[in-house]
Amino acid sequence: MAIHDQIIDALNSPDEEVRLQGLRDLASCDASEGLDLIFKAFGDESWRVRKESIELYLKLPVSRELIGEIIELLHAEENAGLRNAAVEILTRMGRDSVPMLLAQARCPDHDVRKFIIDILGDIGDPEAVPVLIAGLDDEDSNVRAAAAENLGKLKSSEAIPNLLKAMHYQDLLLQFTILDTLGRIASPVSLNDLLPYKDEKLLRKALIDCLGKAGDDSAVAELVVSLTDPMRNVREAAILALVAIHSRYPDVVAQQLSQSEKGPAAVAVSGYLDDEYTEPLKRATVRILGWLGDSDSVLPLLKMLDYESLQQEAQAALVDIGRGNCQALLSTWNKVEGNQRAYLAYILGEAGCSEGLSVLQDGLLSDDNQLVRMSAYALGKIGAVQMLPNLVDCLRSESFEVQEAANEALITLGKSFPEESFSALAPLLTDNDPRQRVFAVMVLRELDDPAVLDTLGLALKDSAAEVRRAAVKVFERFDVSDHLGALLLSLTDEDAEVRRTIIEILGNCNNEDALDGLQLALQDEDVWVRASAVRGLGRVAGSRSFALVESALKDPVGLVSIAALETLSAIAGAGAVNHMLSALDHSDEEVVTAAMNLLTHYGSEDWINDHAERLINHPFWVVRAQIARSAVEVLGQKARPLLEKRLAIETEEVVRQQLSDLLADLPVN
Amino acid sequence: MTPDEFRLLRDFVYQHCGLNFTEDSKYLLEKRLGKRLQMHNLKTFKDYYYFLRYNSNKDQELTEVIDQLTTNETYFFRENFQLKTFAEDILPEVRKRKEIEGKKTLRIWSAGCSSGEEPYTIAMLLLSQPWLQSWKVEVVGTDISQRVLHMAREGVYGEASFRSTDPQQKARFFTEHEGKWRVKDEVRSLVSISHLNLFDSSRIALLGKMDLIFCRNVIIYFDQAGKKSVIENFFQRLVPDGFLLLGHSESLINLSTLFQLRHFQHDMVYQKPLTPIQSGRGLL
Repeated sequence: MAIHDQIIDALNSPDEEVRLQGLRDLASCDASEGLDLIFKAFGDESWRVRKESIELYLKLPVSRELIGEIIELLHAEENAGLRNAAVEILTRMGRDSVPMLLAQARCPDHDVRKFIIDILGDIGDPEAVPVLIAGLDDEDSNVRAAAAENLGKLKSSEAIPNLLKAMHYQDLLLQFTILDTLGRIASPVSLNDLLPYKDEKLLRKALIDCLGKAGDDSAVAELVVSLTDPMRNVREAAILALVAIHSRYPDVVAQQLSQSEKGPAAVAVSGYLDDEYTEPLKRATVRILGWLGDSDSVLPLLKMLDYESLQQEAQAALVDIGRGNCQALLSTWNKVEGNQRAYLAYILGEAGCSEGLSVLQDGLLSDDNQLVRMSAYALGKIGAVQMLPNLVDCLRSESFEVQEAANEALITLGKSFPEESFSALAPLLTDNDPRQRVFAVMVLRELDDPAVLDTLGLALKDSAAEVRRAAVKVFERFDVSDHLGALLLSLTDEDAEVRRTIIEILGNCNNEDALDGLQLALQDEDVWVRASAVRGLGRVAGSRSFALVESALKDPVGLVSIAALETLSAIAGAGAVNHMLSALDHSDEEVVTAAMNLLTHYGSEDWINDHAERLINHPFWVVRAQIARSAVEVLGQKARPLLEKRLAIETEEVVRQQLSDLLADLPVN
Repeated sequence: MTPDEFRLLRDFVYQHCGLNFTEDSKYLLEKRLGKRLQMHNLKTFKDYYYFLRYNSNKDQELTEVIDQLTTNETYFFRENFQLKTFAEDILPEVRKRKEIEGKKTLRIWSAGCSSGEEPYTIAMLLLSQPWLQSWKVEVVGTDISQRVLHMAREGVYGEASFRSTDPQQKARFFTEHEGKWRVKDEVRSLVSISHLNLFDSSRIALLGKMDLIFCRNVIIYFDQAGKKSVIENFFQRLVPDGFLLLGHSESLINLSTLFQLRHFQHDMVYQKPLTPIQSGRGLL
């Protein structure tokens, strides 16, 4: 009882710190006996004391039994702090407080009704929707606006008819709120429902915002018209709204914009590309210009490609223009040079402008490598099969980028014109320059014809390893059952990358015969081949492959042992725990770390209890750091003594920092 | 090179690839590895031995050592009398057996193929057999030296490789290429070149079963134990009735009784019997 008196004295102290300490002391006794003191503290002049009292109260088992009393505090109009404390408590109690809040929703005090509606909205319980809907017709305008706002938080589409009906109140605050709420709910709203408010100047921007977020396809025409609205804020809202509604009705937006009077709209909109406007507005403007498809927009959009943040949108917009009006791009060709012309070449390709063949041909002969590169790429995209010989010539360019672009174009053409591509590329297979042979292989291997496997037979025997590497990848695309012999033979290739590729292929073909190759690859001199073989074996089901992966645990190189451990875990999950436990004694610290990682995922608490003491004192810091993380993950706050003990003697700064961070994040009790 | 250094390097090389250097070939080891000492600025062969054992680039250096020690000159259509036996006696016999079995496949291994003249010679002989046109034919050439394998894959040769090739064959199977001669694709398409240590039985298994094995003038460099091991591997790879063709100075005497000796008009070759020979001794 003596302690209780001390707490009372403390809570009545003029010193904020003493009152705070009083609450903390109360927390260490049976605080439910001091409820009156806590309630008093809810209304303390200090927000820190109020906050502490709220936390203390919410931890009390009796807190849920006193909801009525807390709601009563909402009436304390003379003490805003007390009311706010009540709002926070009721909100944090969540659904527990909802029934009593609903029961009090029609109380005579309009402020309390508004508080209750706000709390119900923040809790987000759908049970509250009828009460909130009823609130739309409350006699108090603030309550009505709160009801509309909180229906938005609940995203209650069933409230839409009532919200639309409530628009009839000549209450601007309510109307703004309802339009915003309709946008938040984002269920389709027809323009007809909002037609009476279309010409209300004060509401117009909010209406456009709402239509962007929630309007159905009937709203698109109004948004298009709004692009030339005399009010600047409405025009800006229309630009953003059209982009928003495009995500729901892309075809309608594109169609209506392309059929609109492009010139005036483009002129009105393109001003928003200026630097003074925000990034989102500029980005939306770029997209609108693309959909409008006005040829005068090509030049300003090309300039936007120089801005990294707008590049993607500008490119898409130009492609949109090109798809609908290739001539718009072509008429700009001679007006630009350097990078902009190169961009234009690229866009011609992306838009599939076959009319661009002539300018792209010129581009391919340019001295500007960037333009050559983009022209090559575009010629592939537009399916310019007649340019195959020129593109093959580009493979001999001194510019690596041009070579790559030509190669990519040839691959693209190969998909549509396999026979012509074969004729153009096959002679390169015997070229003196290995790089040319690699290019030929890269194109030919992509042809959708299994017969290409035979064609590339010679490339698999090439003297240059890079050609063999490129050729062997052809097997990734076809069923290799008929070629297993050739693949197994190629496992004797002296180039490790060739062998690695084969192992990847064998590991994916799920064929019993492939197991022989994978098994032999476990003895390969190259560590990456062995690791690939282990992972490949993991993809081939069966007890034989499992046993082989187990055998790889003994590999002298940690990387392979780790691959084996991870593969066994993937196959057997917790069934591989014994292997993980054995790996904790491995001489390679990376293997030990990998084993701990896996045990953290698959093991129970036992492994930590059995091994943590040893591992936290492991000579390698990575192991110490990992066991600390694992212990916290598996044991939670029970890991504290282990971490504290190590921290007292740890000298490695990285581990010290980690131990400190982990300890700081652990709950005290 | 001191006697101790010779023994260290000799044993090291033997353990790795089975090449056996006797005391009287010490000069060869000294001459061929001496260049590597200079290359790495090493003073003694002992230093070089430690380099091979412990240097971080030891694997790469070992490849160089093998290249230096195993390079042997060869040429197309070498030991023509044996090739004649192959084309005129062995191939018809194999054809007959395969036709009875209903199989139209032929696989031949040229073990220790060096720069590729032998497997390409075999392929040319096969292309000269019209009946093989509808068969699936494969010649696999293997060697331990990566340098010669590169040459074999390139398939481009100077005049020295043609000392035993008649002009007609040269014209039919080669095209002139920057002053040298390149094997035509129809020949290359039959030949696969692989990197293989003849003592690595597990990797040898990747080759699959063979109808014939050519291993000419290779096992002479191995000691008795090495030869036995290699011959055992050949036996495992051959199909029953398959043939083993060794160099004219090589034989299986005191090495193996698993094979039977076949006498043809121009040469004698070894054949794996259909059923194991009941000698009770196996490999000696």
